[in-house]
Amino acid sequence: MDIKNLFFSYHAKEPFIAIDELKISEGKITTIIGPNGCGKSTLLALIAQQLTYTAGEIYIEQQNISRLSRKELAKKLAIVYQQNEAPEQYTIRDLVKVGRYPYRKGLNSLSADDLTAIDKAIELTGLVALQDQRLAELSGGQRQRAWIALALAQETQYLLLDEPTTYLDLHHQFEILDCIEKLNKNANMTIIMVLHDLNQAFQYSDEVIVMSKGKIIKSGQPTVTMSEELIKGIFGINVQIIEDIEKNKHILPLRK
Amino acid sequence: MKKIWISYIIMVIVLLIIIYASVIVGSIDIKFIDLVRGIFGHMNGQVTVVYNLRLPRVLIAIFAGASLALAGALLQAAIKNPLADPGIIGITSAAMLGNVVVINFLPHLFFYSPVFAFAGGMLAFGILYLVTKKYDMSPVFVLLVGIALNAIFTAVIKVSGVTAIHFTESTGLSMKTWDDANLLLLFSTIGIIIAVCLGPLCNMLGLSDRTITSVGFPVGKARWIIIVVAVYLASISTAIVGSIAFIGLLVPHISRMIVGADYKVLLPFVALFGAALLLVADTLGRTVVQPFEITASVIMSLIGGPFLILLIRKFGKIYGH
Repeated sequence: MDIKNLFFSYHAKEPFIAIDELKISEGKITTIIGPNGCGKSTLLALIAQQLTYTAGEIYIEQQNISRLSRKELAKKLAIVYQQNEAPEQYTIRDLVKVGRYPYRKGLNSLSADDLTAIDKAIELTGLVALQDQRLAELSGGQRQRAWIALALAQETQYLLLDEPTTYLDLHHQFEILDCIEKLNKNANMTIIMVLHDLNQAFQYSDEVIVMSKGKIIKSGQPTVTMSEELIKGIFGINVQIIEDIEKNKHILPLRK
Repeated sequence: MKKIWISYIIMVIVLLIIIYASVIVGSIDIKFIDLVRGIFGHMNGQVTVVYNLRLPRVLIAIFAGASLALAGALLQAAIKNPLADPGIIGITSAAMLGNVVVINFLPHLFFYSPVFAFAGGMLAFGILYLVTKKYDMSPVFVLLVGIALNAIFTAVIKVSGVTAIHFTESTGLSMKTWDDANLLLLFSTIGIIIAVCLGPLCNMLGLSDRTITSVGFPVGKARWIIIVVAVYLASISTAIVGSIAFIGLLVPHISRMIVGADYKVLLPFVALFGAALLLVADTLGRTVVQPFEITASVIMSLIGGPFLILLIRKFGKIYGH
């Protein structure tokens, strides 16, 4: 994905997002990190065309995606937010069905392809046993997986996730992240996600984009990009980066 | 699933019983068989009266009840507010204003007043659309603008009542003739059929805007279609029977409790229930204090008021607030 000259503001005077050039590699997991209000979620919404940018182009495979119809875009790019609502009677299957909208002719009949895609999405998120249960009866992690399954049913190359783990407990956080990692490995999906937890960003990303005040500060491999100095500069927190026995790096916040 | 089928069958049976009862009882009591004979040629004095006055009234009640209930259900889906009702949105009062305009200024066009009522309803919707368009007709804005429109139109009606010509609202179903019935049947049938087919669209709108936009669903357009059909149904009914409160609000809610919130299943049920309810209200109104009449509108308010309170008490539990 190629992002060029992206400008956006919520209020006319102050530019909120100003990005000259950003390339996101296909087939990789790219995580966007940064302090609150730096524009991470806004950037995601802009890429997903849910906000309209005042200037700039976003290309997927040399195609300017703002020129695509909503349905065509829905086949290239899917987005999952941290909090989602559905009517209470919706089952997992009902929800995943919605993801097939860009491919369906009417709102009534499902083709064989639709059913295959729905089944696959449910399988990839490990929800086969629960698929006829109502969303309201599921745990937070299961529910979030259902929303990811909806996005998967769109059969897109790109999957965007806005803080998918923020409202989940520790167990469910890793459940979701492992699920996302599997999607990348098995289905070669390009994942772009926003995370707050720097260690999760470390552990699960192929590339990291650091943002602050609407600009890209640095991007690249996590171990190279996320240094103690950078984190101190962006977040104002002293950290120590240590290496464990298996050569994995961890970020430890230090108390003042 | 079985529960839904049973509910439907019960509803149909109830409706048929109410139709039967409504046709028989009244200030003139006749036997059903006489009416049937009358329709097929053998008229006698009493049957003629019933045929000319009561039968159209029964049919109007059925179709207006179904139309108003459907209008309420569609609006609730479109603006995602369980308290939506054609009256709240300003459509009913705008339709009434259409009537007022005809009666006060164009009395020679009296027989076209339904058209003017519909024009009024569409005017209200047009303003609503233009103002809320850039918000994709989101629930809060539609409700607020609707409340404002309601206030404006009601005030204009009141003001016009102050002038020399005294306008009484054409409320109720009394003194309706076959002309009225034919008009209503003609226009509302197509509306009802279209409305009932909008189930899948309404279901999609149950999800958040950003979810359905990201799968490519045309949110604004879908809402627009649903609201137009709702306005159409409500305006036509208001033109013929005037303003009847609570049907658009109560019937969808109670129906939801019985057959669930899947609009594919809900909408037909709402139509049946609305028809039955208005018919019961009208029949009660004209039989309970014979030979006087309480208008259906008043009966609905009498039933509707306490029911609404009951609903609000339960409503809290249903929607988890």
